[in-house]
Amino acid sequence: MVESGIPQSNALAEAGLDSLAELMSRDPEGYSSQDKGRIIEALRAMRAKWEAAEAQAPKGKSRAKASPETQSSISSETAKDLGL
Amino acid sequence: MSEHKIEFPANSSFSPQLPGLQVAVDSTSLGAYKTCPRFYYLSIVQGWQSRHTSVHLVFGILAHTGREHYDHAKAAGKSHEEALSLVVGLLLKLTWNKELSRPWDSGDSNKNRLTLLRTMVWYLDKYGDNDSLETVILANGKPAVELSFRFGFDYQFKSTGERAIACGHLDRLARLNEEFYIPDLKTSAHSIDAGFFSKFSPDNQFSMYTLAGKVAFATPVKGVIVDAAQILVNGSRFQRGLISRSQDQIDEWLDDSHQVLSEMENSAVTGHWRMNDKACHSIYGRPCDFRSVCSRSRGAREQWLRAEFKQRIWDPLLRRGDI
Repeated sequence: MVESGIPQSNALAEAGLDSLAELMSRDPEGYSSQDKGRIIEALRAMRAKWEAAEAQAPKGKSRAKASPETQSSISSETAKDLGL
Repeated sequence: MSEHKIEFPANSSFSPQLPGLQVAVDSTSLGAYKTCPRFYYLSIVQGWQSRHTSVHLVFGILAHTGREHYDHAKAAGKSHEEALSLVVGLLLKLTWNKELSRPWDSGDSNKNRLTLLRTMVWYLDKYGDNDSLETVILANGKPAVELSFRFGFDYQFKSTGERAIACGHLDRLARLNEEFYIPDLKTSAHSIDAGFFSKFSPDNQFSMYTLAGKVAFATPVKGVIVDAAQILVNGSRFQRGLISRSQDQIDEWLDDSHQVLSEMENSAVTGHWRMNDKACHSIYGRPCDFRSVCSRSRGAREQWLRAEFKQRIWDPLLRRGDI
């Protein structure tokens, strides 16, 4: 529950790239659960940026296309089941 | 090369009767011999390996280790976040150089400490929790992860009378709907497209894994599901591919394997592991580490090996430490 008027911590903002580099330069023996959590959040934030950039990239240029024949050999009928 | 002058390192997977004859054979050993008997002799029988460890090998091992620990944590009742935190903590420690008090420096812009952690967090977020590919729970209640197997190869060596054993380690046995598969995680800096998956059919490792699932774990395994991760500098892409094996394909692979076992025996009997000089430029997709050895005169090779390589025991009967 968030109480209004009290400054809130924003893990994503805190775990920026500078913060991540600093965290990862430390001896991992001294990490707390919070430190690991901040690293995970920073890496997830990187994914959000990456996915946004991927969505904007022109399709068909950066990603190789499979021939229809080979695509079918990867059991397309189960593609949804596989989480593709 | 005068092979007989070099002592054979003690190795429980080899025949006590005929030095150089491997009786318990894993997919790595069989694949090495198929590729080049001389490469097999140097890397498996003698156990030589380059002093310069491949970043691709290290990265792959670390990714497998992360996946394995995640599965164990989940099976022990941990939540996804708890299991992920354990994996991140473990990988951070494994990639920390205690002696130098600094992180592992891979020297590779695609495969390094940051991209390893990034890849595993993204991968486990995508395929870790609520995955339609469920880890099988064994009869003893334990999850079917990190499985060692061994079973009869249905082949008897003529020179010693010993029976060949197929052995190795599977990462996991999983169920997709009502079908069983061996999941495997592969990392690559290259595009993950249909060409990537098609290279696994035929494939020595995947055929043996499928057979192992059927025979050693008495499960009607259909094939291997590959979780492929493309590791780029700024991001990682994932793709899942199903590599199936029919019974006829498995039978053919087994027939061929018996032929290879016969050739392996012949090499041990004659003390000669021939060089396949057509494979020097592409062993597992890259130039062979032993080109610098094989390109020298036979008398100079042992000295070069001792100077430029290190020796370890490749024993697939021991607990895992493979790729």
